[in-house]
Amino acid sequence: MSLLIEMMFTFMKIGAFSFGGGYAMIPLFQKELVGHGWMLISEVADVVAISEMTPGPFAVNAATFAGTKMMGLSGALFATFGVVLPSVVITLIVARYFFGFQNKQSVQSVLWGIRPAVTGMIMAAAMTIASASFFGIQHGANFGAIVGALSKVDWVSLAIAAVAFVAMYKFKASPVLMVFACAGVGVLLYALFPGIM
Amino acid sequence: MSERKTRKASPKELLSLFLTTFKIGAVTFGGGYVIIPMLQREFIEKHNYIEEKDILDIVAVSQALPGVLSINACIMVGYRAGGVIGAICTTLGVVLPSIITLSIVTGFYLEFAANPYIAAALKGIRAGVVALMVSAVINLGRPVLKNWMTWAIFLAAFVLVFQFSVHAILIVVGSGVLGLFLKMVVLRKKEENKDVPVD
Repeated sequence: MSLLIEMMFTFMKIGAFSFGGGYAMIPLFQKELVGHGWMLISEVADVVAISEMTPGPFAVNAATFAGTKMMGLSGALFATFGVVLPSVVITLIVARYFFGFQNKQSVQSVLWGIRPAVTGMIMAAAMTIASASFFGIQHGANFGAIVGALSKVDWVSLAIAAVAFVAMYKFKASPVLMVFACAGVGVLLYALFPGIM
Repeated sequence: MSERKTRKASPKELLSLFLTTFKIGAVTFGGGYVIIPMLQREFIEKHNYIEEKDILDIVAVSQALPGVLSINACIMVGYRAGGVIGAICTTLGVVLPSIITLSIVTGFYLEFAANPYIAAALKGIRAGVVALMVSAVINLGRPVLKNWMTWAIFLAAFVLVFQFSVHAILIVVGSGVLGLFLKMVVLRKKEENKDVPVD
């Protein structure tokens, strides 16, 4: 029981002190989990790999992985509860005030600057995923890396993305269905032509 | 405080909040920003729980707060759509698929990772996610990018993050300060010069 509580508090600490989410959380996870002797460094790397293959945020995947490994399902639940709780509390408090202030003129001015910037950040995320998907750039994607990898372009991924884009943008296909369809196309292509996938 | 700060959600709506985020949580590979197109489609276009501009504001606030961006965003969407209970429903919904998948996969993840069919499915998904993100940028950008100044902020943020790996919090804070300055000082001056009353 005490291990469960200790795990929960450790994950709460990780949830409360990591900004930006995603892989920005890896160093903190590594410090806490390896430091406690709950995970090996190589297992942290495994969680990153599994996170890319399973749905959901890295933090929740890592908490569930470490919790399951240590204490089974109850460990998974306590660890995940811990990592999510600070977010829930802090975000709820902010949300309560934010939606009240959202329409004030000064806040509108701030948001006028932030909205295009956030759109730009989403574009950057899209380019990072595109670099991995089309050019096999797993780390450190930037324009230089893309130019360097132009000859290695993955035409199959590019074609899947192009068809998916037309289906979504022109024919309003549901994103959820798109994910399933793309997974199915991937499996089908592998079954028919193992060489190209 | 505005009146439409939150909505009172019926039990049926709360269930739909939970099921919608559960569905999203089950198919969001890659985490982080990938959830945005899903939230946009499900919560704005299908259910009309929140408005288009809310999504960008929610991403900005989520990014500036500690914790997981995608979960923070779901908390805010849930709160907007159904208050505290709504937020709890969306949080549970988005987290549960991860817990279920990971507690199953953890036992045999080496076999899972080595399976070529899973690798092929993931390769397909990743290509689809690119399409998803690009159409989100177009949909979210359309109402926002209306003049050269907003286009400049968009391009600057894109290049700073993608090429120079500038931290997202710096972008949010910087663009917010810039927005306040441009809107309150520069644009107001312009209007004063034209003798247009400013309130």
